[in-house]
Amino acid sequence: MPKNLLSALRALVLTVLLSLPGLWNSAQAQPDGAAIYSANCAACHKIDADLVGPALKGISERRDEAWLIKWIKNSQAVINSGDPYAKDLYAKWNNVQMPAFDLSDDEVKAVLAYIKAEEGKLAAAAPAQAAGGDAAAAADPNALSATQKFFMVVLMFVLLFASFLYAIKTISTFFKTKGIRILDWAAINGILFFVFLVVGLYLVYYQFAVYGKHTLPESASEHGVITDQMFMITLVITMIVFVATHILLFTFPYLYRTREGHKAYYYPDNHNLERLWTIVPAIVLTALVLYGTKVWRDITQLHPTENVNTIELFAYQFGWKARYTGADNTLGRFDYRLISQDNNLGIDKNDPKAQDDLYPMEIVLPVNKGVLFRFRARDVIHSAYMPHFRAQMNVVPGMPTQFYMVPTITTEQMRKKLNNMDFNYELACNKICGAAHFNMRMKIRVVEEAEYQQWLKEQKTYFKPAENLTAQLNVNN
Amino acid sequence: MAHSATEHAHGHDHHEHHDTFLTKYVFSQDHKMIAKQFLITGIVMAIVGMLLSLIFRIQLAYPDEIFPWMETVLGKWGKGGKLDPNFYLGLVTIHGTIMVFFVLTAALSGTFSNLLIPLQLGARDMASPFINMLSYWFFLTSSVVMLISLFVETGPASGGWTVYPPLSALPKAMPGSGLGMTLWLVSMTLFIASSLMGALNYIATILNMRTVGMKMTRMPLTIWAFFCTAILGVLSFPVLFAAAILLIFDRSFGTAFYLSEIFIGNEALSQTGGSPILFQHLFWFLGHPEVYIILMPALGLTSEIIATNSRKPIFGYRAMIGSLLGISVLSFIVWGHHMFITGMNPFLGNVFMILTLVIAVPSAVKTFNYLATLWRGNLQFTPGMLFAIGLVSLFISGGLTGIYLGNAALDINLHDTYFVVAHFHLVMGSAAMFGMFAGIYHWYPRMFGKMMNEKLGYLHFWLTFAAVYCVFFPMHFMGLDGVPRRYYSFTGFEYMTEWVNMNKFITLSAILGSMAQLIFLYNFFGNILKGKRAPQNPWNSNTLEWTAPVEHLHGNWPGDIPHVHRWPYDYSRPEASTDFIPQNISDEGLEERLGGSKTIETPSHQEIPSAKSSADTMLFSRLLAFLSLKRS
Repeated sequence: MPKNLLSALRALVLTVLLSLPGLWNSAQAQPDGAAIYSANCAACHKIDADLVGPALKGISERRDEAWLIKWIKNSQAVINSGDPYAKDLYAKWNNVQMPAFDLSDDEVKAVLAYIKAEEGKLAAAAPAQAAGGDAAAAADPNALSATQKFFMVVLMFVLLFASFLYAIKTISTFFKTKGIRILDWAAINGILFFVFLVVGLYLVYYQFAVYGKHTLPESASEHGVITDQMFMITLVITMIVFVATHILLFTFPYLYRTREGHKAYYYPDNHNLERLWTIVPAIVLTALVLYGTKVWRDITQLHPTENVNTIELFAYQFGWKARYTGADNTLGRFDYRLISQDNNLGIDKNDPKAQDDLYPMEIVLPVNKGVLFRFRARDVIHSAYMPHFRAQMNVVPGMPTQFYMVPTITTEQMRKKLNNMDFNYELACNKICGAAHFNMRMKIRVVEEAEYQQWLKEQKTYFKPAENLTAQLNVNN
Repeated sequence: MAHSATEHAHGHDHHEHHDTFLTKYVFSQDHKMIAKQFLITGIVMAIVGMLLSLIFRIQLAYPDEIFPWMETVLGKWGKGGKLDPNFYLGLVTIHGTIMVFFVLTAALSGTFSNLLIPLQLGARDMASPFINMLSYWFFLTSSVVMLISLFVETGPASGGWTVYPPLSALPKAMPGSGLGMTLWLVSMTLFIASSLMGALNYIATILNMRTVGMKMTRMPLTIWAFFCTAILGVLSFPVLFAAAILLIFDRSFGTAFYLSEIFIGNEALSQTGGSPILFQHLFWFLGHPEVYIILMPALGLTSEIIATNSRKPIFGYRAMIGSLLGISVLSFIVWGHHMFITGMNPFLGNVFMILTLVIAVPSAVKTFNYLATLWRGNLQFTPGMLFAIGLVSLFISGGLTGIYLGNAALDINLHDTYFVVAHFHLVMGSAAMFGMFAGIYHWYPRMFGKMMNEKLGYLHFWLTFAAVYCVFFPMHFMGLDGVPRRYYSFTGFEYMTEWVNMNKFITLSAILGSMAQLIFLYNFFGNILKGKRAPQNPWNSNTLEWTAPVEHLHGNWPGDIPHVHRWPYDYSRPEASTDFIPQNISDEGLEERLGGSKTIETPSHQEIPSAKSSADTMLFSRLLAFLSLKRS
């Protein structure tokens, strides 16, 4: 009895202490408006233009802060309360509902402050731009808009083409009246095929040379190196077939075009030839299949269970949330029915394993250490696509999926290799999921182990420490 | 109004009845007229599908520009001259649906199966002309419903042409999943009914109504292709039907076939235990054979056109049939390669990967056989021939990338990127479209009794061919840079922004390519009335359709149906004086023609017992005949 009383008292005192205004905030860093904005808002909103949702410029003038906090935390509740502004807004934006965000009041305020600051920057930039625009317009009163330029180009092509045709027609009618046929269309088409072959092969080479460089940089994961190698092997084989068959396909029309007195060679069958081109592709494909199945099995079915970081990636319309295991290396239980405005991931508060789960705003991975992603979706199917790691897995509601990989190159190293200091690894959604699908992203940072440990310490837990401790105490009882 | 085959066979003179405009052009039961109806409806749908693609291509090329005309044309979806992201997805979805189902499935198969099956087999009409008519009218209705869905307030279905639930099942997930999605499902249900009625009819006709001497192994490859296609359709479309019905249940009646543990619109849905992956299995069980439903008729038409215009027999006739059959069987057991990374059991991935790469073998055989047919031919470059050669090129280019995508380990990184867009647009979209163009140019004289302008056909081909490669080839590189498909703009991610200029190039090519189609439309519609009258057999072809009179005629042949004495590929036989011997010429007739020279031996490999109509197929055709409600 006294023990219970004591612990209850202790809990009470702790709760009061920890929820003292400012205390929790000061323990954590001041909320970073820009980071929260880009993690939660940027998928659907722009500051200065409408996107999936309205432009956020002047939002603080349009509505007061209290309303905005209510709206951001739970827009559906505001609509249901019969607020006419909210209802109009909902209808105006095609009845697409803004999700409820589990942000604190302070975090929302930080976002609003960030929007205001950005507005200021835009406003400052606007007159300069307008002046510049005026100057440009003054300098060239005939400046064309992109649309006009575009249609000019198209029109030019058409005119060029029409005059070309007209010329051909005039010339050939002229000769026709004289009884001379100058255009041997069989020859023209045969030659055109040959020209198409030469130009086409050059363009293929050109594209490999120029655009080949713009494809993904070297794989930043262990398995990706192997799949890239397999890709190259497949590329060599298919390109040989591609070039060889096209050389035949496009020179035959030139070589065997119809001519006076020419007769085709009656050649209905040759079983040996057919056997040859059945068996050779079959052997090559068998080799590829065996290689492919081995690699696929290695990637999907075999991975160590020891010394692996487990990270949960949670997808919703339109963003990602990450949850780290914390010290116990185990993720706490979840249930989709627990999802609410304060508990966006639906984590079970009473699960002791959930208490130390971390809830960061970016994905940070230690280099050269295996990471097992566990995927969960809230609403529709998404796909976690991490192209630089050659990693992808669908995120399916009601069916947890996973993907294991080992990142091998830190973000810093990759930046140096690419000579691009703005480079970041990205997590993108790659399964159509709605209007802001194209903006559904999260940044991934690969760092050295020491930096990772440091970063882990700065992350806040999923449940705020106050609740956390209370819950912990309840469990202890 | 129905005229059964038997009625025709008994005599043709007694039914000089009056065709009214309505019975001749609208509620026609004549297979040739129905073919034209399919074709023209398909062309209209193709124009719509193409225009939709231009709108979203412009958005991709100029993501930051304001186009005031967009607001004029699209209303609230182009507010302020910017395309709405929801409507972008709607455009992508309806473009895909129209092109895959309405143009390349219904219009391609519907046109040429209807036109050629009775004509090339020597039949008076389809097994059931009435069901044939119904097939068209279901198709037209479903087309109209699909077009109407573009105009509903919440927009058309927008979840991609594959309409994966839960996105498509939950109206709260996106505006397009409301009424637009309902109309999509209604339209597809009608479409499937149409497709089934057509396919059953084709199978019944091919099995039962071949003329005397037309053994299965004397059928032109077109018919073989239509036959395999129809079987695929009959076996796979009902599965899509089931998938659609279950989706309707999930959407409207609260069931949980595809839904489980979903929290949306601030509430946790009560459905648990369903699986979104189940829908994908059902969808792709149709979806993959569907790819071959689209492609095989195009390959069949191409075989016929290449042989005719090379003045050579198609190389390896039996291997061509074998590869069609092989593709047909394999196409049913490879659907899982669309789902490698859905989270299905990785072991299944291995199985599907092996089967998928096996299907490359019959495809390779077809390609090499086409090349061998062209070799040492006497190539006649009709526009149809040009498009047929173009098809082979696109089939190679697009088919080879299938080897990457069929490899599960490579698919991890390529899945749902522009690499896939490039792959299927080349191998299935453009190749099948080229097959359709080839077919139109080749059989236009048969359909309308008029000739198309050859020069315009050349122009159309070269522009389209160049445009197709300019549009789709660079997309491979975008995919290799990890650019995902179905993105409204590529401005959000830093690594994708470098492709903006490429997107401008692709859009420009697409616009020029579309304008080349105006040449085709002018050539096609202009010559229906004004064109030069077609000769009896403009391409000196062997098949039976060229023995029927040019005039539109119920029952196809005024007198007796021609009998068949040989396979359809007797081109340039060394001992013959002409370079073609039509199928209906008997050896005695040939002797007469050659002035009593030596008899031609039929190659021994053609001596295969004909597939006699079995009791089953007789029963089947009786059933169809009963359903056709014909008057005796």
